[in-house]
Amino acid sequence: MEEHIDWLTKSTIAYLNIDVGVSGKSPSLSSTPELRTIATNIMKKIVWPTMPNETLYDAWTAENDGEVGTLGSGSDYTSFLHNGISSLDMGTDQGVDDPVYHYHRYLSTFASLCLKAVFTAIADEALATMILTTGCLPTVTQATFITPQWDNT
Amino acid sequence: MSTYGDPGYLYHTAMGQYLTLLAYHLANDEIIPYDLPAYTTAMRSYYDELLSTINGTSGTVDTSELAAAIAQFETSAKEVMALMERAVSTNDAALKTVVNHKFRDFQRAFTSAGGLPDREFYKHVVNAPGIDTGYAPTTFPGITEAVVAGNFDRAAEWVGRTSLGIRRAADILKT
Repeated sequence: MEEHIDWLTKSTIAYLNIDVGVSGKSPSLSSTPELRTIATNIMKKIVWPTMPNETLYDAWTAENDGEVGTLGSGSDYTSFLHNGISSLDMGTDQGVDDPVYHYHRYLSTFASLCLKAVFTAIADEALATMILTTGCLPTVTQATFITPQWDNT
Repeated sequence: MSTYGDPGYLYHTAMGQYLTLLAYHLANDEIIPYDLPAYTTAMRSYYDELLSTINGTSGTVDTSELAAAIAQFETSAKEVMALMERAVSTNDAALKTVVNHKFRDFQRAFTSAGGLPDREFYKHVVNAPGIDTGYAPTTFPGITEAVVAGNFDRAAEWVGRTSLGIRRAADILKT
């Protein structure tokens, strides 16, 4: 990351981190504050698997009282945050009845699974194109460099 | 994973959908969907925690410069949200770009050249992993950790450095 710092600080608007991708059924979210509203709103659009008619937002508020955490360290977002790039860290933690041994579900194994999953779940062609160009990047590399459509720099 | 961890990979699917949709909005919305007043709210909360930390010691630190910097940020954050509304309502492409650049860039100002005391890798003046807290965060780390260490000269110095970062961020956002 530090090698490409000039390019990154010129062009990046946010770093989305998923490290402990799926380690249980309890969602957790931390971010720089300006991302909190959008990050929370998007949660309301994702169906949560084990709770019929409930969303990721419902599962998250049930566990965390709807509080977005403050970023410390422990994953790759650290070097982005400390070079002044808006950052977010998402994952799930173990609940009381979850298996104890898979502390980390790293994204290297997450990648191909996610590809299949998102294409299965989202049929819309425009969204599928978007997933190809942006959404699968985090699952493959653990790093999303989001260059917005309005910016060619 | 398919037997115990996440049978059917249902949670993997949900997380993939979540990050994808979030990335989509960040990349494709005409204005980056940032909530700048939320940053003011967070800093006010961190400020209260700092006062509580200081009150728990026998020393004193003048934090008025920090309070003023946060107030300045609050004003700029409100201004930029108003500018954003104007850019959208008038459908002014140039104005939208101005707002987007402000949103993209303001966070850069929070990094302090030279980094935090004794650990230059960490540069963000608003939050960082605590020096003794493992992965857990400390807010206004330069000030808070100096206070906890009883180094009130350093705390005063970092009130200045932290406030400078916040004022610079406010300058980027102001209209």
